[in-house]
Amino acid sequence: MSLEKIVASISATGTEGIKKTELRREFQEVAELDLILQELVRTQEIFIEKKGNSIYCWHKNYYLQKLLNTDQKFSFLYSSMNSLYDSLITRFDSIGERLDEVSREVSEVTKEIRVLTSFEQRDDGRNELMPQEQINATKINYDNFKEQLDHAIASASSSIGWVELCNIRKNLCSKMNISREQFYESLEEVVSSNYDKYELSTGGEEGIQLRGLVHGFVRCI
Amino acid sequence: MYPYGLNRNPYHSSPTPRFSDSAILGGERHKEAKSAILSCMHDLCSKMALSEKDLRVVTIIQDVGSGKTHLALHMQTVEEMSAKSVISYVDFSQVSPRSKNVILSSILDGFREGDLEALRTTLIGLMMASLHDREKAKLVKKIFKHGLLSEIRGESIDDKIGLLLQKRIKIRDEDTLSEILGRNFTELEKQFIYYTLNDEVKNWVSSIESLSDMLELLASIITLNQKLLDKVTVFEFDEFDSEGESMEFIKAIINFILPSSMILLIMTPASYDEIRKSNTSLYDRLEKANYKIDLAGSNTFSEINDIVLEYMRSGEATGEFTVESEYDLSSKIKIIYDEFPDFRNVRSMINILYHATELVGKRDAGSIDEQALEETIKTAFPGLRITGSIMSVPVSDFMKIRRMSNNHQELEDRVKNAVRDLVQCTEGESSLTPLDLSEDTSELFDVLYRDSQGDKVAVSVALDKEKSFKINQGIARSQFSGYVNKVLILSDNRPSQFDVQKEIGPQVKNVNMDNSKLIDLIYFSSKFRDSQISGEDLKRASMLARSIELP
Repeated sequence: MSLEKIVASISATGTEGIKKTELRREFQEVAELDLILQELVRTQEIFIEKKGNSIYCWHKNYYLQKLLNTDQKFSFLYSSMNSLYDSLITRFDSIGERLDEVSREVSEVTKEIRVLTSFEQRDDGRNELMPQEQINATKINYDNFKEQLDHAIASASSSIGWVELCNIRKNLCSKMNISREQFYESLEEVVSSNYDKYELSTGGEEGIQLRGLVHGFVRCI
Repeated sequence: MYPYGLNRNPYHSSPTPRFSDSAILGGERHKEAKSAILSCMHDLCSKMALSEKDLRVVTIIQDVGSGKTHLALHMQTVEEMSAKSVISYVDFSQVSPRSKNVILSSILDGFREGDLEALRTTLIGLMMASLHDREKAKLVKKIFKHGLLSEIRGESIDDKIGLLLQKRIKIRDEDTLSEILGRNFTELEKQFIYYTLNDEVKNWVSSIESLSDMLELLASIITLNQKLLDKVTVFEFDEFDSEGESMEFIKAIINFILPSSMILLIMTPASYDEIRKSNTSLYDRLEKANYKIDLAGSNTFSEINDIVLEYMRSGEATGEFTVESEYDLSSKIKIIYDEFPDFRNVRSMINILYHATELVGKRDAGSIDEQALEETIKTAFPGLRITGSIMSVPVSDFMKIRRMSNNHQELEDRVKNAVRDLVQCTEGESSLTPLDLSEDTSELFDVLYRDSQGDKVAVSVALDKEKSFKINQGIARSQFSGYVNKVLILSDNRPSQFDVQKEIGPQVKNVNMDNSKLIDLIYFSSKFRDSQISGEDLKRASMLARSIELP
């Protein structure tokens, strides 16, 4: 009980603090006052410091303010630390935002990889390992893709029949809701299994790699 | 001695065709293209007498290595063409810088020496004919400074004309020449004749700076070809693209409308697209070309095969390249064509055949065999592998097995044996168990074994759709579940969709094997039976087993 009273008494003096002699006077009945104070110092409940010729006690809630009021060096260091802290916080916030962004991107890439893996695994005959909903999400029907491709070539072809793959890709990706990689994988499969029906030609901005050359033009024979 | 009794290798090894190789033209599409060009030329010739400006624009647009240049060069070797036309061949890849002046020089360089000589000879013939005309004879003598002194020296005017023909003397009296030529020729034509007779056209042309003068000169050359040789003029522009001033030059030619001539523009779809993007006006003119030669399908097997065989047919001297030889070579070409997408173009295939013919020639063998083709592919294309082959089957074995696969029953029997061998190799001989099933059920399966987990696995090989369907139906009806734990149906049905694998029940698995897996199995089996399986082969065999779902 006396411990709480002692702490309350010290706290009540605020930033001014209380002289140890005054405390001793106030708590004459407490014989082990010095031991209690030592314990409070150890637990950082209070702080004891010599001020002038006297020894003062401060409660932890006011000691910082006392230092800021009386110690210029400490005050300067404290404000510097604060500004450093603020700048770190701002930096951490922006890093946090960037991390969120990266995390979102990683999540999207992961989804894409899963989608592609499921596509490959399906081709390798290992689709039983994939959850059904993922397979359904990525399944590209060969006949449907071929039909759409033929239609796109017919609609976009010039007088000589050649069409830039880049244009076909943009068209089919948006129409079939498939990725660029899915488009080229499917195209490669359709073209390689029907190489007597489609012709590829070198050049263009993007396309299928053959003999080390980008083949960016296609036409139906 | 080369194969099939050939005394030389009919194929060429240069990355682009040489004029000397271009006399041979194979392939239905290429022959159709040739006919189209000839037809255009004949049409042009039929209108030549009208002396009107008549320019035909022909485009050939196809991918690299598809035989466009070969076709262009071939046209120069066609008798029907050279009898009616003078051809200038310009390879734009060799024209640098692409200035109008350099292009014009290249056009003049592009005329064959024979055509230029024919023109000079005709002109000199004109001079000689002038000797019969008393007035003109005086002028001819004046040109050659042939006077009394020359007569005393014993020199004749014919001798001097002969020396001019041999380019040993030059004439320097341009005005007198103009007088001899009279009104039949324009001033520019007379100038061209003067410089042609002196073999100084190139120097003269380099001094022409304005585009209109260049076009007038081209028109004069065409007119002279028409007047003196009775031929139309054909300009072949190979590797035409959007670089430098080439587009402006061609556009000017089209707009100028040269007389009795044809321009043949050879380009790739990519160059054509570049022109579309950078010069709409020229693109529009090309879109309205009189002929658009379409080499569609020039890289199909039938086209490449016919081209390759045409070389053999043309080079054949002793009659050893028979119909059977053609069939045999075709089947080998087909395998290379199917298995290596890189060789699905004329240029690459001719390169392979050139090397294979050389190899066979050195070995003095009678025909191009699988080993020669394998060696060629190994040395000329060291990085190439058979797509999807797990057992790393050599190309020659691959070709032999592929050719054998035409016999369906034999193929199926060998695959069944191969599956049995694979199980024996990967699971151990003791894993195989006799087919002690009921009569109805046992005929559905080909191999029965216990896998490492003790499950009894039945394997069925069905290499055609119908059989695969029947087996699936049979299994669905039969009560096999008491006897076996798993059923694996191996088939080579090409999937109609991207889905490769289909399940008909939890215990039954349908696995589609592509060609490379079938060949892997047969190759493995033959090595296994010959006890030639190495440690590496064993690892590959396990991979192969896993790839066809053998547990």
